[in-house]
Amino acid sequence: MINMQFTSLKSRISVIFLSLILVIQVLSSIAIKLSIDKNARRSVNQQLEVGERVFLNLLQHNGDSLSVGARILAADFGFKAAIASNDHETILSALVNHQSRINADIAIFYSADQNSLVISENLSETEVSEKIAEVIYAAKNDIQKNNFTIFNNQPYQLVAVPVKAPLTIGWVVMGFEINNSLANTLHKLSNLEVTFISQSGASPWRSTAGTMSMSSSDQIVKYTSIQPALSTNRNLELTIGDVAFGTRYVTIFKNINDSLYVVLQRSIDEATAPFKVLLLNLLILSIVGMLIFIVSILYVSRIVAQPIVELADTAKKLEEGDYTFKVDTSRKDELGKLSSAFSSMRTAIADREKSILKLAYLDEMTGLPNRASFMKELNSAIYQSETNREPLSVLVMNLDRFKQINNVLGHDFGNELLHAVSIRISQVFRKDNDVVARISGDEFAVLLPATNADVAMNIAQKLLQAFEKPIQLDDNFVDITAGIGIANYPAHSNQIEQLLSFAEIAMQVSKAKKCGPVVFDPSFDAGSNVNLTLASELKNSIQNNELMLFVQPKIDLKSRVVTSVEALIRWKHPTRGMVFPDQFIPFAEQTGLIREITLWMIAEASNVSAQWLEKGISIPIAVNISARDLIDSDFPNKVSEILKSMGSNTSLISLEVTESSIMDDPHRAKQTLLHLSEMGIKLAIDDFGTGYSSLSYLKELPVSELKIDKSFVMHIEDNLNDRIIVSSTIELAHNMGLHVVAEGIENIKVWKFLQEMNCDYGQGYYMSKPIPVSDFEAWHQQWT
Amino acid sequence: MNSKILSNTIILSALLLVTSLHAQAADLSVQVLDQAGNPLSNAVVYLETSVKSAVKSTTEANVDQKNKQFSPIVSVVQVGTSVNFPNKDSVRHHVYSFSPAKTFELKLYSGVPAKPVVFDKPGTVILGCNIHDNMLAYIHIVDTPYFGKTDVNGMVKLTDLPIGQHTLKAWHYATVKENFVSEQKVTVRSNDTVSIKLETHN
Repeated sequence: MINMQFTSLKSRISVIFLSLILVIQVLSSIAIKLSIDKNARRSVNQQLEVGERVFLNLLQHNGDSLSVGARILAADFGFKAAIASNDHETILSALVNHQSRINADIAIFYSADQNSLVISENLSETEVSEKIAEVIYAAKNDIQKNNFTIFNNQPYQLVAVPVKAPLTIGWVVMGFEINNSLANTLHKLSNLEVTFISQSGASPWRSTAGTMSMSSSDQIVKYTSIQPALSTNRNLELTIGDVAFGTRYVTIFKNINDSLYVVLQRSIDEATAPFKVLLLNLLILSIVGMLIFIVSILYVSRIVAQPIVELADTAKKLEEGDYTFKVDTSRKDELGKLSSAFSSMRTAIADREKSILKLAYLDEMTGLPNRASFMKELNSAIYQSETNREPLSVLVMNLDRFKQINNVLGHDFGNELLHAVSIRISQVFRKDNDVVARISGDEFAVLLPATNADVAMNIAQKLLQAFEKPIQLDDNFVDITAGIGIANYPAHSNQIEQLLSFAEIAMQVSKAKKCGPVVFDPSFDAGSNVNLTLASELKNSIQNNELMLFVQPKIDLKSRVVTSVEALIRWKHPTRGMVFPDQFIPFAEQTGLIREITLWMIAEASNVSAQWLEKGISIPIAVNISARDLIDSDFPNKVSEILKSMGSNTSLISLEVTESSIMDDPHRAKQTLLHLSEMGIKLAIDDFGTGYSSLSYLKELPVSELKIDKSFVMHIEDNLNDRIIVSSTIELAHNMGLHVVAEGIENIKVWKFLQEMNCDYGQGYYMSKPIPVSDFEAWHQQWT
Repeated sequence: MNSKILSNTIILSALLLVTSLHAQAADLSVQVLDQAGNPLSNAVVYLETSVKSAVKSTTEANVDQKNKQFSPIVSVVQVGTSVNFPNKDSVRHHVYSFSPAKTFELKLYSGVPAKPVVFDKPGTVILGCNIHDNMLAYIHIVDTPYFGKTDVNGMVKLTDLPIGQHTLKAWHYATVKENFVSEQKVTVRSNDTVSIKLETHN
């Protein structure tokens, strides 16, 4: 899900911009925080400096009011009179009176002449007289100066004023305690924490007053005690408890014995507090801004990405082959252009697909529907038949010998012929519903809706009749014969593939039997199934030693001498028993397995020949080779190797090729045959008369023997035509220097006819059917 | 400290002119100098004789107040002299003294007070005005008719002195030691001149 989000353009835009703004926010927050800290400290320092000035000013102010008070007293004539009369009580009451006028904490009169001391407070005279002398001494030199002293551990700010009558007759000293009240006043003025610390004589530092808690004051005292030298008028940072304080020591007074400092402090946290509110506001503002940004970036990215998503959906529809949708091309921007391009692409693809479809379902050569189209039609026809409860027939027609025609007359001719055939077929079927299609090279299929098998049979007959008249192409007249198979729905199958396949099977049967149109019968299919199973087992038959060699003798018709034997293959199937070649050789031909079988036959024949030679039997063995062997240019070498390995004499092995297998590829067949002939192997043309070969062509081949197909020989006694064909063939062959072998001699009459026709050799059931090699010797002895 | 009278150097170069023991009289010129040798004006110089003389020099004296100042700043009178304090300013004055030799006050007045103040004890009286702190004057009261005040040259001439050995005293308001009176024996014979040194604040 997350991955998907990040792969979409929309989320990528959002993520990039959001990250960017986040980074900016974080950086600016850090910068603001740093600057706040810096500013807070600077502001604390400034406050401390201002605090110091305020404090000094406060002291000055207090000194002034002390001074005023003391002066008023010192100038009082009555007071002077009291002094003159040395009236202690009056002096004391005057001191107390004036002290209370200005809220001073102490008032002292000192007369140096009389060394008398009057003190308003209860203090030790000894201590006071000692310290007051210093105060007065300082005052004599600078009357304006603030004086400080410590009486009994209590610091005081003092002002000394002389009493003149008119010369100085004594001193009035007035003072304020440096106490919590002063600290609080300073705190109110400066908003700073204030602590007064003092040291008197040898006693340790102590805090005398302040705004801080006792424990905090103690910490300050402790810190002060451990400082080797106090740095004043400079700001430092002191952590008390957990709170950092900007701290400034200010000297109030310091002499040999006594010291008094004020410690001004400001909590840095407190100083940053208003900034923190600012920072919080900024944070809230940032978050709100971020939210607004998120919403707008999502909106913007949607504007950009949504049409792309729509186009992607459109492309998906194109992929699915849906061309009916509309593309919104109303936008004027780049995406609008893209949409227009999509729209025109859709039209172009639709057009192209239409023409491709047309090609896909049309056979270009004939203009007829092709196999795919036929299957489609068949499918819908079956669907319709199912609905209408009607039968349906499929007719398959395959031209005979088309391959040979193609080979002999050329492909162009073949194509023209196919075209002509298609026209002729179409002429038979006029109904709109009938579908004529070319489903493979020389195979046509016709769909006959609402037609049962019998009607289809009649139509097939009509179709064959249409081909009774030869087709004329240029100057050539071509006779067309064909096999026609019919399969019927629902009688045979309700599946299109199977239906067509059944029709094809029926067509094969029709071709094999040469008996006109054939309607499919389930028994055909059973056979074809058996064939298929055999085909798969055939592959293993050679290894399993299941193949056997049979021989059929070839007799000199004049001398009755056995001149040669033809080797024939039999398959001794483990479960089916003896299987005849027509059941597996066609398949072997198709798969190419025939080549292995041929080689096996040659090897086996060599083997047999060698065995016979040992027994004094020197009869050549003829082996049939297939069209596949003829087009294999390496075939002669393979034969040579086998013979060599067996130690066989090439004169004892001969090869037979059918006329039709030569015609598959006459050029290469000729090359192969020449090669074999050069090796000293005798060659014979088998099944002569069934193919299209002309004698003039055969003349060029290195063959020494011609075997006339049994279909001509078998009816020689009844059929005059056959007799003429055979007779003239024998004569022609002899003229070309070829020996002639007649196949299919089933009785003595045929033998006699052939003998009269000067036929050289004969083969047939009259002499012997094909027999196992092991039975040959016995037969041979019986024959002679 | 008081006994160390001559610790302050008094250089005496006596030129005593002795005329006759009883009937004869002589003068004594005295010069008062400060520690730097500069002449001291307004120094009071007087000679105390062993036999009290019945002679009265004067019985009255004036200390005026003019331009918010006393005038003269220093007066020297014989015991028993009445001193008047005429106010010659347009403002009133409140003249007082807390000195042990004579404590008095003349409450706010203008013109000449009704009664003069009689100074009947020897000593120094410091005069002030209660409403003008800057006003300051001294009256030195001596118990002898032979006294004088130095002029700008620090000179004073005591006349008609009985011949013989007497005590010569000198006082100045600005001596370092407050209210110090220097004392020395002199023999009055003829018109001699004596020099006295006093240590003063500048």
